[in-house]
Order: sequence, then structure tokens, then C-alpha cells
Amino acid sequence: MIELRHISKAFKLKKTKHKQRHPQIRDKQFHALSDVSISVQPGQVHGLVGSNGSGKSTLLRIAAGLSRQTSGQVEINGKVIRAGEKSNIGYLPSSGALYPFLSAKDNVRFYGKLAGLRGAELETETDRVMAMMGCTPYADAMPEELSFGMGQRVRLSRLLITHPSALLLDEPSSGVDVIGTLHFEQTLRDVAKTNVPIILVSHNAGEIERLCHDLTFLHQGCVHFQGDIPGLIEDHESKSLAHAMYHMSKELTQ
Amino acid sequence: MIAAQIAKDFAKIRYSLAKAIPLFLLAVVIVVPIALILNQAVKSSPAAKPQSTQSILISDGLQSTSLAGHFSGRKDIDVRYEPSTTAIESAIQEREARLGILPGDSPGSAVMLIRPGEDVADLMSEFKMSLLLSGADTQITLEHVARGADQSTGAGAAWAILVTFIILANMISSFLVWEERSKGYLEELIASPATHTSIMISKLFAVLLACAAVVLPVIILGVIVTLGMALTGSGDSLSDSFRIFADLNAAVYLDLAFFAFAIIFAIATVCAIMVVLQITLRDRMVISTLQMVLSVPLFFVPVVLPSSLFENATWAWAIPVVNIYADLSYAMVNNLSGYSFMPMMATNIIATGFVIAIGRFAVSRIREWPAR
Repeated sequence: MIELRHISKAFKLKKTKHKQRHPQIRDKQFHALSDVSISVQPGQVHGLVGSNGSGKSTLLRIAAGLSRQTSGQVEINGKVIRAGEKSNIGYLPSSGALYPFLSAKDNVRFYGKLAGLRGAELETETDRVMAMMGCTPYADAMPEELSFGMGQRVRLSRLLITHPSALLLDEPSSGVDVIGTLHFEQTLRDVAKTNVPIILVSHNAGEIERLCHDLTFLHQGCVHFQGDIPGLIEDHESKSLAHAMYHMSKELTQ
Repeated sequence: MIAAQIAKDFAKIRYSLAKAIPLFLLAVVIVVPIALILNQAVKSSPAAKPQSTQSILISDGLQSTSLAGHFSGRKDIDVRYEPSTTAIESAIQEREARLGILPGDSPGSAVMLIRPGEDVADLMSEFKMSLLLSGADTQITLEHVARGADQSTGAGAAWAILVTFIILANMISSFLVWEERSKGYLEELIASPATHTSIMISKLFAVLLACAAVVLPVIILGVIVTLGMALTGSGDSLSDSFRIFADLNAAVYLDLAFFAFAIIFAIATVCAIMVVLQITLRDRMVISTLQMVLSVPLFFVPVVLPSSLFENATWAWAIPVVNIYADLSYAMVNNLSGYSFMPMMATNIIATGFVIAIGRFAVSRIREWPAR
């Protein structure tokens, strides 16, 4: 289980920007996140949505230990993660990539070594994870030979071989074609079945609706909505999550 | 865990170098002819003619010989007589005098000392030495002062090696640390099960080992050739292609090795500090600012440290200029073609070649070229 409790993040602003008018600028600081809490149970996929700059990636970076929150805490399976402490979380940033000089299998194997696997155990786990992700046919291919979707599966394999306590995925299917996206969604469902809690950032409302049990809608660093997806659709008298989100965004701009 | 990360970094070095070799060759093909043309222009430049002392020191014991008389009538030469042989040797070594003449071991012979880097052919022609050589009772033996012999050529070679090394070391640190950071590899690594300490240590060692792997063969080759010279005597039998190394004596090689490793250590340490900052500070803006601040010593340390060693270190300013120019040009290429090791390698080499060649040419025009 992963819990983000009352997470806030503020950046000091340069003097020249102190007087800028923006709802997130207060006390000479830019408040990227304000009191955001999310709790994801094992086996659940939680959607994190919002417009660009709403704080989604910042929240994931804090949960992954790559950025420090101004206040609040991150808990994994009931244990509070302190600053500088390793948290066994699998984080897939939107900007990352496979090492281009290692084959798909060697990329996965490298992360296995980082997780302390050696010898026969390393080989067995590498093969198992790659088979689970459907990467076996192109295990020996170099990253430049892989399509974006294939590459994303290998990246996910790399995370899974470390047996993470939770997965944080930042727009993993961005740029993947329709078929690739559907395959990737099935992959995530399979991963969720192994009782790993997943937080998924996506701009694809259809993907969130198909995959997630509930979602958090961030707007200007604050939680605008949090709850189950059918409830959100029903509240906005919509037919789909995309329609409901469209209505929500209209409310916010009015 | 550390070994796995170092092995991964070395796989990256192999991959990057293999991709960059065609561009490297292209860059060399472009830069070398231009550098040679400019170098020839420097040599033929009137400004490059030595304006330093024209004094000749002659031992008191030779004052009455025809040899001393040969120089006495010339107004363009400052001829002085010196009783101390040691003082004459010292003046030649320190380049305070151009020519020293001492009594030889056998009666009627003389020993001529010339200052380091002096062109013997020029000297013979300038002072009409052929007249003396044809004399019936006088024999002249030319000797280089052993310590610091041919220092100008040696220093040039040493600088060429150092500059090449610094560029390569900068590139290695760039693609092992800066590029990993900008492409997000380092973030994924920090978020992985790898401990923060293992990441720092492995980066330090990877940069250290990679830089050492680049510079060691050059130094070892030089030391072997130098030893070969010592064993075979004159070194005439050695291939001319190795002459540049042979011109460096063992002391200069030791200095070179010392500074090379000092620079390796500085670069590796800065890279490790960058990884520490990435892990501890985490805020990208702060890290980028500190990266720039920490890069400054890398530009200037190699300039300040060896300046007292090499005679023509006055053009050491070229190193920071080269680095800054290379980084700027790289940033431009980066914006145009996307982040990649290949344009970085090519722009570094091209920028280095051009700045050094043009800088040397410009300096020779502006003031006396110190090595000549």
C-alpha cells in the first residue's frame, strides 16, 4: 500500500516574480502542491489526472524520492519514508529511456543486479519478468530496434524485476499506438494482479477509465476531485470519463 | 552493485566511441590541414623571430684564441667573457645567453653549448660557423645541455597531449554524468534499488578509470620511447613518428603523468560531487547552477598548475577558451539536432583545433611567441 499524506511543495520565487498574479503564488513562493493526499491499496490502479502544470509529475517525483516535499509524508506499507531513505518504489518517468548501448534483456538484467540478484536467480527472474511483459521475442534486440510501445514494456520489466512495493508511472503510454496502448493496459492489469499498488499519470481519459478503480483530479496543485470513476461520471451526468472531465474543466475556467 | 554500474558505464563508453569514430576522423581531416597551414604561417611570421638575448658567453680561457676573435668584431652580438664554467652552463639552461663556448677536453678543442630549443642550423648560418669549422687547429663539438633539452618541442608535445586529454576527459565526464542527468537515466537510477553511495562511488570510479584508460597508453608509449632513446643512444634508429615523444625527457613525462592524474582526479571528483548534489539537493534549478559553478575549476586547474613547468605555457589560456567555446558550440548543435554524444564529440574536436590554431596564429602576430 502507498500513502501520500498532506503533501505540499513550494518553490521560492525570484524577486522579479514576487508580484506576479497567479493563484499558486503566495508569500513570495510558488505552491506547486497544496495538501495533497492519495492512498492506493495493493492491486489497485489509481489515476492521477489534471492539466499541464497541475502538479502530477511533481507529486510522483516526491513519492519516488527524487524531490523533497515542503511538508507531508510518504508511507509505503505503513512505513514512513524519510529524506534520503531508499523506498523500493518503481518509478517510470515520462522523459526516461532504455540504455541504448544495452540489449533489452541486458537493460532488465542490469536492474536485476541493482536489486541484488546474481547468477541463476538473475537469469530466471529476467526471463520470467520479460515473458510476463511479452518481451521475450525481442529480448536480444537493441533499444533502437524497438518500437516505443515495446520499449515501454521493457522499461516496465526493468522496474518489475526489482520487486517494487509500488509503481509510479508517468504517462507510460504517451506516444504509443492504439494496439500498443491496449496491450500495455493489459500488461498493467497483469501487474496489478500481483498486488502491486500503481499510481498512473495519464492524459488519456479512456485509458484511465479502463484501468483505474478511482482517480485524483489535480488543479493548480490542489485536489479538485478524488473518488471512484463511476461516481464522477454519474455526478456530471456524463456518458464517459472524458465527458465528465470536460465538464469539470469548464467549471474550473468559469 | 558498484561493479554492475561500472560495467554498464564502460558499455556506454564503448558504444559512444564506436559511434563517434567516423566523426572524429572527419573532424581530424578538417582541422589538421588548417592547423598546419596556420602553424606554417606562424613559423614564417616576422613577429616569430626571436628578439631575446643575442649574448654569447665565452670562457676566459679561450679569450686569446681565434675562436673568440671571430665574434669580437660583431656589433650585433653581445660577447662576454666568463671565468666560471658553471655560470655559463647555467646561463644557457636558463636561456639568458644564446651560445656558450668552453675549452674542450683536449688541447685546441672547444665545446659549444646552445640553449634549449635552439635551431643549430640557424645558429651556424647566422654566426658563420663554417669558417671556424674549417680552421686547421680548432675543433668544435656541439652539445645540448642535458636537462630540459629541446624543451620547446617537448613542451609543445606535452601541451598537445594534455589538451587532448582534457578534452577527452571532459567528454567522458559529460556523457557519464551530465548526459545521464539530462536524459533522465540518473533519476531512474536514483529511484532504483541502487544505494546512493553505490551510485556515487561507481560514477567516481567509472570516470577515473575511463580517463586513466585514455591517458595511460599515451604516457606509457612516451616512457617506452624515452627509455628506448636512452638505451640506443641518439635515437636515430627510432621511427620519426615517435620523435615527438622522444623529444620529451623522463622528467617532463613524470610531470605530465602527475598533472594528468591530478586532472583525472579533479574531473572525477567534480562528477561525483554532481551525483551527490543530484541525490541530496534534488531541485533541478539548484543543481544546474551548481553544475556551472563546479565546472569552472575544470577549466582553470589545468592551466594554473603546469604553467611553471612548460616554457610556452603562456598560451595555456587556450584551454579554458577551448572548453568554453566547445561547450557553447555544443549547446548550439544540441538545440539543432537533439542531445547526442556525436555532435558533442565533433564540436569539441573541431572547436579545439580551431581555437588553438587560430589562437596561436593570433598570438604570434601580437607579441613574441614565447617558445621560439
